[in-house]
Amino acid sequence: MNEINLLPPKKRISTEDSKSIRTLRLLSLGSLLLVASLSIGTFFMTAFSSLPKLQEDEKRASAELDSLREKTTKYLIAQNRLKEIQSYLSTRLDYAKVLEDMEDTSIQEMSFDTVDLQDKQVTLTVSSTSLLAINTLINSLKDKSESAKLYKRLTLSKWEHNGSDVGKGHVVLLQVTLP
Amino acid sequence: MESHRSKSLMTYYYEFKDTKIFALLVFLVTLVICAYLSMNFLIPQFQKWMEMNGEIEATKERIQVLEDNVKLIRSVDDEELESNLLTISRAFPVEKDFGGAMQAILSSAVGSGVSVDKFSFAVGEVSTKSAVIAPVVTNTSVTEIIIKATGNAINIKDFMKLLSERIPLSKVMLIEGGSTTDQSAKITIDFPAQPIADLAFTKTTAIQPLTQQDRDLFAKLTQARASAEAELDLQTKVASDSSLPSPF
Repeated sequence: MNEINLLPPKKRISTEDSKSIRTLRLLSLGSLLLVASLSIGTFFMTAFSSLPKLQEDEKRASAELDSLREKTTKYLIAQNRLKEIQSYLSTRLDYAKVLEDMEDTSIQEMSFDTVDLQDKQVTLTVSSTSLLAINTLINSLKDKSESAKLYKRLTLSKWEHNGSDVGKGHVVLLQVTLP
Repeated sequence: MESHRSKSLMTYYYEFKDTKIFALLVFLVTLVICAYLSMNFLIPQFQKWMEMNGEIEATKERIQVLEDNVKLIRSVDDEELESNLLTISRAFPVEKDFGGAMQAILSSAVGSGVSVDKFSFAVGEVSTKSAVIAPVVTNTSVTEIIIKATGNAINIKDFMKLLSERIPLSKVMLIEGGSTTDQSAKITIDFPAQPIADLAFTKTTAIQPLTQQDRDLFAKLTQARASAEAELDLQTKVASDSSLPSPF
């Protein structure tokens, strides 16, 4: 037997209330649907991610590199040693170039008698019968030192004149400090 | 009794179902359920998804590095690599190479017209306890060779130039009294030796290809090695020829 509610509602529902109730019901349903759809969406996105396939690819590439381990090690050693060689060569002072440069600067009436090298210091004894030749050498070295910054310091340590010594009238002791 | 209670609940439902309070109550309950679902399911799933995305990007990068490394190593010619390693080990030996050092000095002396009258060097430790070359990090050890060279300043300069182009690599540390009067100079030369450094390498570290500077250096060292080997071959040939009995 069906039951029929014959009791009257306690309060009459106005049109305004009806709208509010409808809105609230829609909001409830909407929020439930939103949360449900977002949950399902994120679940599927994580469930069907490409990560496992990528991890497989990574393992494969890693295994491929493992098979080349010996060659890789040799290559890396070679590369590392090259860097060490470059670093070593950068500390090597090119004395030969300095002397070559001085040789180019010098003129015929002049001779290099002694060469001493230590650390960054090159000491040269130059002799010549011509005062002009010595002057030219010093000026030339001075110009190079100032313009090309080839030498940090150029010092004329000693200048001797020995008239009795044939062929070695002027003896000059030059000290060149490399940068 | 039970029927009566049920009846009264139904009665309450029918009485309040269309009221604003009931709708508000339903809305609040829904919000609580939504909040619960969000906290326990939606947000963790979203965080997991974000983490996976980050991991995907990182994995893609690692794969790219690994593939690039494989491609680079495969592109290196095996024979060329072996030859380069040999050149490097001759130029910058792992252990003191007295023979190589003397060969470099003597060939430079011959090329420059300098006569090497005397030489001396401190031997120090000739080899390590183990014959196996272990990749350890140590400082460079140096073989210091002192020679008495006869020749003028120009010869000495040529000697230094030639020595700088030869292997094993060396460094002229001191020249005393390079003179034309007594035609002699005392030259101190350092020959370095350095063990192979420990390689800090992981598979996902990108291997760099050789730079042009590296290639140029290789070319120079290879040339120096070729001339050293040619000189050695010539010396061997001369020595073997002189040991042959005269046909007459």
